[in-house]
Order: sequence, then structure tokens, then C-alpha cells
Amino acid sequence: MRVKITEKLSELGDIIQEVKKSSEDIGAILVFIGVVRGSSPLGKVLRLEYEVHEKLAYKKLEEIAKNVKERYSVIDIVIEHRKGSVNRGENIMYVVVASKHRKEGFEALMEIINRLKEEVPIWKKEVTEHGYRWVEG
Amino acid sequence: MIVNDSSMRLYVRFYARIKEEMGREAVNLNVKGSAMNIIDLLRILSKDKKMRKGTLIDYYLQGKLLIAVNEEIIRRNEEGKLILKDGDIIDIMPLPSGG
Repeated sequence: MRVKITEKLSELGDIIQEVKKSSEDIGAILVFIGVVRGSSPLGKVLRLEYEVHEKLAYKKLEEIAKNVKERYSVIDIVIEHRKGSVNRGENIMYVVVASKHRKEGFEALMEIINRLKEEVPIWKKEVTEHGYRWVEG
Repeated sequence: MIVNDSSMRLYVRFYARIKEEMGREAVNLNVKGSAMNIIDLLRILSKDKKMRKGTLIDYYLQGKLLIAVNEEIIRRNEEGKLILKDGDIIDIMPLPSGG
């Protein structure tokens, strides 16, 4: 189980191989990819800029991953989230969950994504062709 | 003669939109008094500093702040219970918007 905040995400294929090695009981691997959407209320999005309180964000991501792993009895979890500038169409984050069966995997994945958005001290500034705004939590 | 001036040094850091609206990354405060909580601190920081949609204390009352003391996040509505100490580091942040 690991979490990472980084300017450059790992290769997704490598992450999948990494979680596959964690157990022979894995029957499902769920993957979420967050992508920079091209449009916003302000117009065409050029990029998102992510600011992070790294110490708190790592602490919170580890707490969420550990808590979800235990509650849903999933086998492995990897979370990676970018910091800094991310251009339109690029990948922002990966959440990968490995589980015995798909049911608990889907549930764990959804909870991780929702909690990351609500609890982890990461903030995004949306820069568009007409200006920018800090996206409200 | 020993004089006890009951003052505290606090280091306050701002993040993201809050940093931008306060116009600074951090501030060192030397405050009088020893029984101060986070809400008291927000009132001090709100004096003479109007932000885009109110003051820091307004943002707090609207539930729009996430606060940590010495890198421990303080649960909402517990801010009044924690008494700050000399040397504390307080992080004042907007609600998360990652992902």
C-alpha cells in the first residue's frame, strides 16, 4: 500500500504490475484516472495548478488508504496525485485498488476518491483563457 | 522582580486562496494573553484585513476553513476548545479541492 504526491506520475502499467505482485488472491484491479477537463464555467481550461500541504496531505492519504483497506478488506491500494501545473487533457491522479472480488473493490475505490476530494489538503487553481479561479472545496 | 507579560509567539501560515487574499505566505505574531484559542486568533488576523468575501472570521463562520495546529488538523467545531501555546504553528487553509 502506498501513496505519493509528485510532479510526475508513475507509469500506470507499472503500478498495476506492482499491485498484482502483492497477492495471488487478487481477482479484480480497479483503476481511477483523474483527468484535466477542457471546459469550465470560465471557458476553455488551459491548465490546473495544484498547491499541496505535503506533510498533512501524506498523513491524510495514508490514513484514508489504511482505513479503507481495513474496512473493505481489499488487498492493496496505490494513490498518486500530482502537484504543480497539469495541462488540459493530462492525468492528475491515479487510484488503484486490488481486491479479491469486484464488489469491495468498487466500493473502496469510490470512498477513496470521495475522501481525497473532501479531506486531503490539496487545492486547485483553474487557469482558463479568460482568467483563473480557485476551485472551491 | 519577575515580570510576566503573558505574551505568546505564534507562527501562522496561509495556503492557496487564503494566502493570495491575505497577500502573504505567513506571519509571525507576538500576542498578549495566554488563554487564546483559534477563534481568538482569527479575530486578530481579521482586524483591518478584508478579503474578497469577508474576513477570515467570516470564512470560518461560513465553514470555509481547514485549520491545523502543529501539523495536526483540528476537527470542525473543536477550534474553540484548543488553547494555543507559545511557539505554536497554525496553518489556515481553504477546504480541500484536490482531484
